[in-house]
Amino acid sequence: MKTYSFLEHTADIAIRVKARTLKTLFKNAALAMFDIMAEKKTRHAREKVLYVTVKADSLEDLLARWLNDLLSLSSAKSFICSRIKIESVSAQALKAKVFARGISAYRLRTEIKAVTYHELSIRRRGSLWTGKVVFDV
Amino acid sequence: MSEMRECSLEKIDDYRFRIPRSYKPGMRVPGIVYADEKLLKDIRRDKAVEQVANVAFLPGIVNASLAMPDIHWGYGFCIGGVAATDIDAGGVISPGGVGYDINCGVRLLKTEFEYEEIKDKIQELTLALFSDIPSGVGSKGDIKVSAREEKEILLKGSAWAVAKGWGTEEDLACTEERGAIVGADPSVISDRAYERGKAQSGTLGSGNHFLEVQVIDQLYNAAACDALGLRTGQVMVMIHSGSRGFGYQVCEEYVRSMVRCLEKYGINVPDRQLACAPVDSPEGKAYLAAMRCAANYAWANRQCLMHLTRCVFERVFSMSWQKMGMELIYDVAHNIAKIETHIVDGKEKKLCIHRKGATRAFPPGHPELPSQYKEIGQPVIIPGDMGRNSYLLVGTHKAAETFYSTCHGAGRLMSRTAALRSINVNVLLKDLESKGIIVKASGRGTLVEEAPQVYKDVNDVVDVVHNAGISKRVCRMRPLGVIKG
Repeated sequence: MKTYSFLEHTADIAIRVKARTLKTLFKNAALAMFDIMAEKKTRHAREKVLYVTVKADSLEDLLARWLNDLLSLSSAKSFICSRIKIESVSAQALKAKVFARGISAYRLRTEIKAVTYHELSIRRRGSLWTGKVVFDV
Repeated sequence: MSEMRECSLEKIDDYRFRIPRSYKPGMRVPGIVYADEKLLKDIRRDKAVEQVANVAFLPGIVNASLAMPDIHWGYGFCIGGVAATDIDAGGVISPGGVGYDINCGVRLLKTEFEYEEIKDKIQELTLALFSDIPSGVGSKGDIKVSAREEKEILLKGSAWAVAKGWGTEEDLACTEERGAIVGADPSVISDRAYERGKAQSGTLGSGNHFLEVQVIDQLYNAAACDALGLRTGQVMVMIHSGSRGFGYQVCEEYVRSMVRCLEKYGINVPDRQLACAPVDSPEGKAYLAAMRCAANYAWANRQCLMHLTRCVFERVFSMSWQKMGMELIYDVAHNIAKIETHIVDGKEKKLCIHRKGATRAFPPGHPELPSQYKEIGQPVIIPGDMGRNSYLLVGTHKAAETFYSTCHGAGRLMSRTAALRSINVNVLLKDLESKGIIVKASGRGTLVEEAPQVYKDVNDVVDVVHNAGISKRVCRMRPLGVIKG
């Protein structure tokens, strides 16, 4: 099942992500980004593990920074995230264990240049968390 | 969009519409959109006009927040926007007003081939270009540089490539800023940006970036064509690329730091992507120094891409590029911020001109133009889509009203998601083939997302800038062979 949906945007890609917990929201947003970027083509590829820590001034900032950090790491180190475990998340900090595979295991689809602050939002209604992210592509 | 309020645009004349300051409290100047009634209908469909109004909030902005006819909805700034801020009056610089692909731009080179002479070779040429020029998502090239060399690229831009033998002094003369803007400071660049930039020199990238073999199908300005040595039927090459991952990293880091500046300097903007700082502040100066590094990286990149193109032509036609007359007409940046002097209310002012999806268009006689363009004005290169046309224009004196700026392309009309839903890639390829256009792309998705119908008709866009007088048509090209990332 898709954990994210596309929203209309003329030039770029906008998505809405939903989750029952904040940890899952951050995980789903990151996996959505990598799903837009690449499609797996080989089953068996070695996974590397990375530990990522992000700090920010607010929850939205934290989301932008988390995604931008992963994006820039992925571009610099030539990998795609396959699995993510968010170990902790608060309004100002996030710790995650990231499983990544080399890009040769993937068919690359879309180059995401960055995660923007335009219309970036995180909302909670009852037990449902919703995030909106616009990517520059 | 149904949830959007109707923006009351006031008609100034047939090609200009004003967004009054009363549209939104907080606008420091009005907005002015260059468009005709036909283009305006599309422009009103998304949030682009709202974004033009938002840019008018920037501290120090002078005259108006300007939008070119290829305007479309971006993030923060609209794409196709021009904003000038007065540095001495606390004017700001905004990394979002330049964009992630710093110095994304276009270069146009000519050949002495007639289309009729080489029409049977276009297929072979397109395949050879596709195989030799690294393109596609995250593309990496054969040009590997050491950390020391990368610093040199950031300082010297195109001249770094020329020193390697990948171009000539004449190429530099025909590049905006001679291919290197002064004031780049590699010491402000993060290790991550270096790392992202290292492997991507001499790569085209993906998305709307392309390399096209084109033919001139229409001349408009005989004097300018004579001066440039252009004629109908002549084969041309256009290259559209930018600063790749290096620029994205620089922009992202500075947008992030400038979000904090909003509070520090008490700046009120309606969208955080408009984060900015006074040009004269430590943050503003650091961004300018970093942005200039990325701009120089992009010029070096396009110089490398042109070198690779010349090499492919040499192989396919067994002739030197000089003999084929493969001279650079010009190279323009269309995502950049520049410090320029302009007249505002009768006084000379030092301004920071943001051109985001807009092209500098200096008039005849401008001191920064190379001698061969002093009489005709600065060449302006406007790429269209892969199925219709592209243009060469020149700058005019009338463009003083836009701080010597004009449009940069056709402008998107349809979202990528809508394109993927409604366009069949096989039908698209058949259609292009029937027009005699050969397309090679790394990904089929990119082809659909970049299909001609997702763009406005560049002919309509260029009509507006020509008729409004902010640049003048010289000639029109149509595509023959297209390489997409």
